[in-house]
Amino acid sequence: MRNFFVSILFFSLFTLLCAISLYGVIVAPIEKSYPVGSLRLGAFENGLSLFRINDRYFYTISPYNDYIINHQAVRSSIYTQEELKEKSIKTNLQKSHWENILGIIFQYFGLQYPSIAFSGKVTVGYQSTISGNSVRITRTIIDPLPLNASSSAMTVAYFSGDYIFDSYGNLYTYQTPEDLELFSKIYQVRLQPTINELRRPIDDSIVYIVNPETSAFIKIAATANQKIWINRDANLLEVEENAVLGSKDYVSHLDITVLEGMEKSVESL
Amino acid sequence: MIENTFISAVLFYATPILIGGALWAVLGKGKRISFPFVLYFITGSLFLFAVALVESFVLRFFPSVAFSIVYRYSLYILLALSLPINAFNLVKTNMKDATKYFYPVFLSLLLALIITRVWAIHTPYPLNWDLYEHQILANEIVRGHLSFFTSRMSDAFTFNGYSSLFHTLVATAQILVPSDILSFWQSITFFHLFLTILASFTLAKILTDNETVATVSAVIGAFIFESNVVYTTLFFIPQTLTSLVFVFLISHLLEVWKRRERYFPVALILTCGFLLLMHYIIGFVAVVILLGVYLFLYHRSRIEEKMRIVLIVEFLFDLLFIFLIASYFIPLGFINKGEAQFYAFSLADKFKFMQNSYGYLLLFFPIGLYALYKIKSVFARIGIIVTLILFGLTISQFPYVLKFYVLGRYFVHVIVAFGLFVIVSRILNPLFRSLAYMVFLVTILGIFITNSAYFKSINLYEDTYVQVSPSEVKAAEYLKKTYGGSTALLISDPATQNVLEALSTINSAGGAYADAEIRGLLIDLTIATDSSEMRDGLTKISDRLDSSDRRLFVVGGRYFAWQNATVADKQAYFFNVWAPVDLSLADYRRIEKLKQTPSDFTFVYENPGLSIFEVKNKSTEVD
Repeated sequence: MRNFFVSILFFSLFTLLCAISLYGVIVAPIEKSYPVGSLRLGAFENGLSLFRINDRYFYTISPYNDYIINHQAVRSSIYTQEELKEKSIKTNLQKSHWENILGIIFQYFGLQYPSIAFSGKVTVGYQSTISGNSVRITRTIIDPLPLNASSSAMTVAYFSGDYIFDSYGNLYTYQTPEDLELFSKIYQVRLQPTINELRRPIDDSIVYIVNPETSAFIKIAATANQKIWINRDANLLEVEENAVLGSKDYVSHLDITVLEGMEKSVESL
Repeated sequence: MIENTFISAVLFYATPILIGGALWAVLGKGKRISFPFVLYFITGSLFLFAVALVESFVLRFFPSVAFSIVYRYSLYILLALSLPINAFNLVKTNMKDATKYFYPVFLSLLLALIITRVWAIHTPYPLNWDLYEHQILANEIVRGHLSFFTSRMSDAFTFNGYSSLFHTLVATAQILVPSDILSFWQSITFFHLFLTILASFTLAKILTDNETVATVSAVIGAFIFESNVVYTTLFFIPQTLTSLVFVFLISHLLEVWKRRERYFPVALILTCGFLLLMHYIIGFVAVVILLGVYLFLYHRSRIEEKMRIVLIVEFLFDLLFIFLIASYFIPLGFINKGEAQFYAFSLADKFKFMQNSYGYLLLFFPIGLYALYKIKSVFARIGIIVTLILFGLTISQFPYVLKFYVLGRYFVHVIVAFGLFVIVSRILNPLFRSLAYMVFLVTILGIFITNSAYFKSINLYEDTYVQVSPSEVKAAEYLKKTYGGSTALLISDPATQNVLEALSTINSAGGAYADAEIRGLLIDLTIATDSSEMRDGLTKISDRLDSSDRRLFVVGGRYFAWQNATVADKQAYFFNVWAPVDLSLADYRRIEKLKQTPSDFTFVYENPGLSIFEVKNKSTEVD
């Protein structure tokens, strides 16, 4: 019996030392992101972002840009101005060191992808599922009764200067004729400028974002019940869909593919 | 091709071993020491190096004769002679001794396979940035440009940290069985990893005479990858090969002494020669330690006649202590300059590096040190002294000293393994003991994965971690096919030059280590007002060693990313665009402008990653 207790004692000591050993590893912030094609998807204070390491362009999906439309067709943000002013919205981003270590290990084997949850009067969660160069982002608005929404939108922020166009070649942002000529020469796609209202629907279920400073094409594909809008005033692509009546939680999906390089991008077009 | 790379990698070790084995057999010494593969390896390596140097020198008088052909036939003859001698020697060897190697070889192989499998996730090629510059020298040797001094063979080497012995051995394997370069390095990295694990086991076994400690040490040796400066297991480079050979040599020396056999002075001389030629600084420290251990073992009584050995050891420790303390107080600015300043790390830096590679696993070090000290064994004492000297050197404030950990890590791991073993051996219940080892395995796997994820993160390209893209590989194939054998000079940012010169064999302007003048001229290209000014800037760039008849300007995603960096970064050797970058729309715009100036640049090649232009010579224009 004495041997048994001695064994337990030393086993506990050994396990403790091993746990401390593992706890000592460094988890750099960048490791909390996961590759999607040539970009990375990571969780930040304002949402999930697609970005490139050491670059300044972040394509963000955020509850601060997302909105709902109520039965009176009034558009409003998910969080109220009071909540934003009071900074009462919390995220689950601040994870313990243990959670970060386990997160990295799971990510290494492709078992866990970036996610984030925001808690205010309503809780909004963003989960990602990554497969190669594609990611499906699932947003869940929990207990949305105060919202009384008939439809909602997930948004992707883009940058002025980006090329936004659909698969028919309709261009929704302003580019100079010289730039369009060059684009056509490189990608063998002639883009046609559309009438430039500040907010208008995209004429297709697929829209591309091309940043002239990066080589990646970000492709957003709407599902059958979604409609994509461009809001040039706010630099947002808004993917609207009807909320399911009577459901307690609103669940929406956004499918994004990151295409890399000229050949693959042209194939896709 | 995969089979070729595998055979080629095996031949890196097998060729010198076979030739060295034959030489030892002919000299009549081989049969007296069982399985001294490491001695065979260093003997064969030195012999091959001498043969290559002599042939290269002689062929300078016969420029029409290709070195690679003459050297290949020399190798065929040497191997043809060596094989029967080795076979005959093997028949005479007592095979009973061989059985004791089965377990460590099996264990090391298993661990190497596990590490390779885990490491290879999203990582198709070695992430060893240095392989490209070493391959550049191997390419030069294949072309017959062999010199003892690396800096005389390629301007990618700015100083001589080692001889060209390592590169001659790489070239030997590649001349015997030509293979895909990246796959060759992938295969040889696997064998190197396997051997480092085997070395960890061997050293721990001889120092502690305990198979469990040796096994734990092998596991630690496998899963711990020093992801800064040292890189023992997953980088196959001169410093890591030096340390590997050193550990096998010291283990062999201890084993020979244990069997009360004589250690041949000629073996000692060859050993010192090999270690020094493989890496001047690390080899020197290795030689000092090896000679110290040799004198301690074989001439202890003679030394003790004149002075007390305890006093010598105490004196050494005092010296080391003063050395360490002094390093933090003496102003070392005069040596911590230039490149050296990037290898001078503070204690805080070193602590962070330790956390990356070990977490806090070194907690077991003091436990193991104390427990090993309690053992009254000569080998344990040797282990402790060597560990403390190397560990002490590593934490001092002098530049480059962190590199000495490539030797020290094997000894540190033995002591950490002993610390682990001491605690686990107190667990008498077999179930809990097994569980303890499981906990250890999970811990060390966790450390390895977090460390790997951290290390790989800067090498992301699409969904893989690489330092070279398929576009660059294709471009290298084009360059080799079109300009191979010519005196063309490739010009681009240092990273592109490093990768493309190694894979295409086309000479570049300084590779990854382009000097300040070349970097300055490259930086000036961004302020060129027109294409002719740009062309003039490019024509001023030249190779320090070779003249060139035409210049190839490679503009890719990496080049533009490098040009977008700060001037200070672009002037620094430590800064590189490590991961491939594809061309963006803005980059294409700049390339289009170049295409529209055929009087200055001739467009010759393009893919999604880069474009290549021939730079028009001024003289051609005049003509």
